[in-house]
Amino acid sequence: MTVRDSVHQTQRALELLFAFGAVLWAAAASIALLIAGAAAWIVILLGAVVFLALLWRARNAWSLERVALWFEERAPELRYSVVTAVDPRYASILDATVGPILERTDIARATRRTVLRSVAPAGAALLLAFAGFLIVPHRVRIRGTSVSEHAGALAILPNRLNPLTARVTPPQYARLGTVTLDDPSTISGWQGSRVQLTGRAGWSQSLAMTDTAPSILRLHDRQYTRDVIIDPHADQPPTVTLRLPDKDTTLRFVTGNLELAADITDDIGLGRAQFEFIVSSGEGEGNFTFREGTFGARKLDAERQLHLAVTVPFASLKLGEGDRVSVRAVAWDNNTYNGPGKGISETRTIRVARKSEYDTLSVNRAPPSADTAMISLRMLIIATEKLHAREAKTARPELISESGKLAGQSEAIRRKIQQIINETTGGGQIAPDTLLTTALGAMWDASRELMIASPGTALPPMYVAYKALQILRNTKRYYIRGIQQPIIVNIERVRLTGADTGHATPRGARSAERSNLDQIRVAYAQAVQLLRAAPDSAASMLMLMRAASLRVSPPLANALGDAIAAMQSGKDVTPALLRARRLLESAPSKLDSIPPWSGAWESPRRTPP
Amino acid sequence: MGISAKNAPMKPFTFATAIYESGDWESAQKLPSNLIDSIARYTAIPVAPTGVNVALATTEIFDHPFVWLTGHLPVRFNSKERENLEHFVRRGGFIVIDDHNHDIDGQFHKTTHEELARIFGATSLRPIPKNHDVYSCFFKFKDGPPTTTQELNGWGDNLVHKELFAVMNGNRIGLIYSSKDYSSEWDFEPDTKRFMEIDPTRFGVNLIVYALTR
Repeated sequence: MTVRDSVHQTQRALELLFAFGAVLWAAAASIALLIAGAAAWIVILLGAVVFLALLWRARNAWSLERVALWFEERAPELRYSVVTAVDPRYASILDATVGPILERTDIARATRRTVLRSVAPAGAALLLAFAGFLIVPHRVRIRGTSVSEHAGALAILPNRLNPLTARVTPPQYARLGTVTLDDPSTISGWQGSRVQLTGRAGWSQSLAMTDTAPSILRLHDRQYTRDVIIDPHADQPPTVTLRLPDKDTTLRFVTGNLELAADITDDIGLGRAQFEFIVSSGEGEGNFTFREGTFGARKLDAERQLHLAVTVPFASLKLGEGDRVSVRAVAWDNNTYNGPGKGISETRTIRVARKSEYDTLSVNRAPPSADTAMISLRMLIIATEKLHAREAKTARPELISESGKLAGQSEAIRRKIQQIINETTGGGQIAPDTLLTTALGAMWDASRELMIASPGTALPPMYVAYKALQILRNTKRYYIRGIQQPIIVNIERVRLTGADTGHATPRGARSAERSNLDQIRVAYAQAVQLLRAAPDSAASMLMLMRAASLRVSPPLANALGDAIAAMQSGKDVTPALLRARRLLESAPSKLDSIPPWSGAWESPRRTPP
Repeated sequence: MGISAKNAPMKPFTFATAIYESGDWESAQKLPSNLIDSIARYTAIPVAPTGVNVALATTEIFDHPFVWLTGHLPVRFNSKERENLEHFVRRGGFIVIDDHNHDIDGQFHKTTHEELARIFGATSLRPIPKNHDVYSCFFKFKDGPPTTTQELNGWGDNLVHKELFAVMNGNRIGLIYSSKDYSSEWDFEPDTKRFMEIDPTRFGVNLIVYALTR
C-alpha cells in the first residue's frame, strides 16, 4: 500500500465520521425543536441547516492534502514528508522512505480520538434529546388546535393522558380547600380557581378557570388526545331580602323609630353589608332635592348568612311634610377575582303626609268609583245572605218587601257601574273594561232575582260581580301616588292633518333567533351519524354538546355525560343517547284541529315566476 | 280552512304609560294624548284615542309593543317589575325611559341606570349612533335626537345631552334611555301644535313607528 493509498483510506473514514456526526447533531436539534412544539417545516429546515453547517465545518476532510497535513499534525516526526508523498509527482520517489515511517505511526489512535471528540458528543446530544422527547410532557392546548405534526412518530410509551388527576384550588378569597378529582371527564370549580392536571410519567400542567361558560380542554400526547370539560361556576352576588319595613307606608306624624331588618346570604362569603336610604323632598318640576346615606354598615368575616337589623329614630332623618324615604339593604361578597358581587334588596318607601291632605276625609284622593261600588256591593251581599238564611222562616209578603229593597240597592250599584263605564270610555268611544262589563251583566241578573224575591239565586251573580270589581280595584289602586287621567283624542279630526310629512323607510327582516338547544339538536344528529364511522369524532362532538348544555339543560348534560362514559368504557351507548334525544325533542303537544293551510305560495323559499 | 293572520282585524296601537311602584310615573299627564295626536296627525297607523296606564309588575305590559316610562324620583323596581321589564325587552317590546329631571347624575338617572345594569348587565346601555334607523324611520333627524327647550333654556343650565342610550335586543332597540326630558317637552295640549312652527313631538312619532315596524 502506497502512502497515498493510506492517506486516502483515512480520508474516507474521516468523511464518514464527520457526516455521521452531522446527522446526529441535526437529529438532536430537530428533536429539541419538536419538544419545543415547533412546526414541522421549521424542524426540517433547521435540521438541514445544522447538517449542512457541520459538513461545511468539516470540509477539509474532503481534501487529500488537508488530510495529509492532519497526519503531519499527529506525527511531527514525518516532517511534512506525507504531504509531499501524496503528490503524484513525488510519490514514486518517497514511498520507499516514508512508507515504513508511516507504518510505525499510530494513526488509528488519532482517528479514535477524533471519533470521541466529534461523534460522541453528537450521539450523547441525540440520546438526551430523545429522552427529553419521551419524558417532557407535551403542551396542553385548549379547543380549536389540531393534533400536533409529530403525532405518531414515536409511540413507545403508553398514553400518558390516561389516567388523569385534577387538583382544583379555589381562589384564595373563598377560603376553601383544594379538591382532587380522579380521572374526571368534567372539572367543576369556582371561577378563578387554578387547576393542576397530572398524568402518567409525572407530567403536570396547570391552568386557570377564567371564564364563566363551560369549555373543552383538549390534551395532546403524541397521537393521543383527551377532552375534558372545564365547568367554572361564577360566584353569585349576595341575596338580600328586606324584612322590615314590610311594605310601603304613609306616616301622618314623624315620631318613633324606623325598624330596619334584612336577611342576607351568599354562596361563598359576605364582605360587608349596610342599609341605604334616599330622602326625596320637594314637589313639582325642578323643586326636588335628595339626600343619601347609610345605616348599620358592618364588615363581615366571610359569613354565609347574616341577619342585619338596625333601629333608626325618625327624628334623625329630619323629615318634612311630603318627604319620601326610600330604604333598601345592600351587601357585598368577598370576591376579589372579578367582584365584589353586590346584592340589593327590594326598596321600601315611607312617605310623610302633608297636613293639607287631611283637609278631607281621605289621605289620598277619593278612591275610584269602582271602590265605592264594591264596598256597597259587599254590604248588599251580606244583607242578601242574611235574608237567604231566614228565607224559609219569613213570610212571603215580608220576603218580597225586603228583597225588593235589596233589589233597589242592587239596581243602584248596577247604575253606578254603568256610570263608571261611561266615564272611562268617553261615552263609548273606546271599549269598556271587560271586568266592568262582567260586573254590569252580573248585577243585572242579581237585580232581577231580587225583584222576584229569590235572594238565594241572586247571590251567585253578586259574587261574580264582586270578584270582578275586586280585581279591578286591585289593579287600578295598586299604587298610592295617583292616577293619570285619560285624555281622549279626536282621532278623526286630526287624522293626517299634519303639515310636516315623514316617509316610512323600508325595514329589513328581523333575524331569526336560534337557541342553544337548536344548535345542540343539529350537532346531535351529526354525532349519531358519526358514531360508527368515526367514534372518536362522535365522542368529541358529544363532549362539546355536553359543555354547551351544562347551563341550558342540566338533565341533557347528564344524559350526554352518560353517553360519553359508555363510549369510553365500551358499553352500549344507545340508552343514554335515547335519553338525550327525548330531552332535546320538545314534548309532543295536542292540537285541537289541523293548523290553517297557508298555501305553498306563501313559502319564503318559493320565488315568484 | 283557517283564518290567516293577515285577514285578522288589526288592533289599533294603544299608547301605554308604565306604572311602577317607586316613583312619580304619572308626572307627564298630557304626553300620551299628545303623541296619540301626532300619530294620527302624521301617519295612517290605527291608534286608540286614549292611552292606558299599565303596571310594569303585571302581564298587561306584554299586550303593548310600546311603553313610556318617566318620573323625577328614585327608581327602585320590585322583583316583578324587574322580571317583566327584562322579558318585555327580550320578547321584542320597546320601552322608552325618560328622565323627567333632564339633569346629570340625578337620582332618577342614577337609580335607573343601577336598575338597568342589574337587569340587563353593566355594559348593556350603549349610545345610539346618529345614523341609527330610529332617527330616520319616519321623520329625518340627521343630528340625532332633537334637543328640547328644557335643555336649551329651561333652567338656564344649557345642559344638552347629545345622545340617547339603548339596550339592544339583537340588532333592534328594545329600550331607550333618555336624559333629554321629552316628558316635559311633549307634555302639552295637542291643540297647541297649531301655534308651533315645528312640532316637537315628531321624534315621538319616530319612536312609535320604530317600535311598531322594526
